Amino acid sequence: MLKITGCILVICAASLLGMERAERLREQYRQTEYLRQLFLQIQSEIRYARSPLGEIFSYIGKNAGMPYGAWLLELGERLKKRDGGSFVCIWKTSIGECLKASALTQTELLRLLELGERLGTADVQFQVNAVELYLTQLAGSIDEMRREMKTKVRLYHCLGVMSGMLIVTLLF
Amino acid sequence: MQGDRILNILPRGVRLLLKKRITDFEYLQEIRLRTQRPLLLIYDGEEIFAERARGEPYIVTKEDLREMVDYVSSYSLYAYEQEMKQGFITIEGGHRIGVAGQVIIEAGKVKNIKHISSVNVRMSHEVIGCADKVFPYITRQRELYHTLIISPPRCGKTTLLRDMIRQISDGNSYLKGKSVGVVDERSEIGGCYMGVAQNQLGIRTDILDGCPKAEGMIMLIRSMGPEVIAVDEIGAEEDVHAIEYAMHCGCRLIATVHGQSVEELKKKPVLDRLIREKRFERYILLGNQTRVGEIFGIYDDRTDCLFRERLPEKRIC
Repeated sequence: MLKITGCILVICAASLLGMERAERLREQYRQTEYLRQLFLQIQSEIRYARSPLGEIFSYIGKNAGMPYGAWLLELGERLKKRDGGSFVCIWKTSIGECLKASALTQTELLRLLELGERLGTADVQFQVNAVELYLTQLAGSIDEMRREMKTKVRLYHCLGVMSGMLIVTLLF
Repeated sequence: MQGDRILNILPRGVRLLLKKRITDFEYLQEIRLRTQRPLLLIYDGEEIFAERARGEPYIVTKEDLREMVDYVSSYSLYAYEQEMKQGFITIEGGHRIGVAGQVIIEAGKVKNIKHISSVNVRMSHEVIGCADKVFPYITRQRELYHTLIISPPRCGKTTLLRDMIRQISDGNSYLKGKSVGVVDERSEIGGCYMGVAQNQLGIRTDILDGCPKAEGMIMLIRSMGPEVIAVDEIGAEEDVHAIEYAMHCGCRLIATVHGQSVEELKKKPVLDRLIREKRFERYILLGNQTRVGEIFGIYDDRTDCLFRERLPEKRIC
């Protein structure tokens, strides 16, 4: 009886691990998609309201959910302080501090860091184009994630259960 | 507060220096930064060098100016594209930051300024009550006359206009409070931050910040129905048309213009017509010979003098 309970527990634990990995993948997709929506808002604020970046980040950050809300608010606050350092420096530091624990992939984080080098400069059209380019890259990543997700989620679920069964077989 | 706003936009090196050296920001009129040149201050009418130590002036670096441009534009130069075309940005509190450097031309017109090598910070000062002296002469039976303030630069015309707006809006012993519409094209009157005036403009004042004067006056008449409209630094033909339109709509006008006298304004074709047709009923002439904001004279529409702080001159034209 004890052995059977143990087997069930091992299979359940392995399945949960698989489900957790699948959930992390879904979360990655959700966060990337949400980031795209936020940058669409930022782009329209630049294009139509022509507000300074600090103002935009604080305004959007107030209503944005985790993990971006805290990041945007922090960014807005630092820009408002005018306490030294270039925009790129502030941008990179805030990403390092606030988005380290996010579900974004390394590639997405790198792209986000690079975007900072193009923001804040001379004319509106350039700003809009820079964000547009970033949005296109994000859209590409999201499409790829969506395609992969279907197969990968199923794979993680199966691998979870199967690895549990394998462990049970090896143990007994 | 005033000091903090200014310090906030200065490069850190200059910020630290001024924190040590300047005790009262009320007397600070200008800060001039030029690449590889000493930092200059206009303090209480005097030009002084800001010194690190005795006899060692602070030399402004290229990095100082880059840092300052970042701060002034809130790290977003694109948001000030239109202002940069005019050569200055107005910051919170109405302080004007003038810039000079290499101009970028597109289709024969100024598009922007790059490689900024000089920055001039001109402080805006709010002097509550500075318009007390003029009210007996610009009001009659609790109504306001159309009034034009004439003054050379740095004589306090915007400061006077600001206090007049505040008193007209709140009401005083000469007139009851009226709704005032302000078109603040250069953001100097209200010193707006996110559309909200940071200077005291009274409880019945609506402000259109950063809006061209001519368009703004018409927009205000249609949207807010002001009893009084106030504008700063008129001069273009479309401004004059909008002023006439506003006057025909029953609004009282108070405006400022650059000049030394009414006679000088008559030489400018656009303004000459306004004076000849007696659109304005009162002219306030300012100067700075004994102090900034000195009232040289208040004149009626026939340019007869009604009041003066200094003597003598019977008529100005």
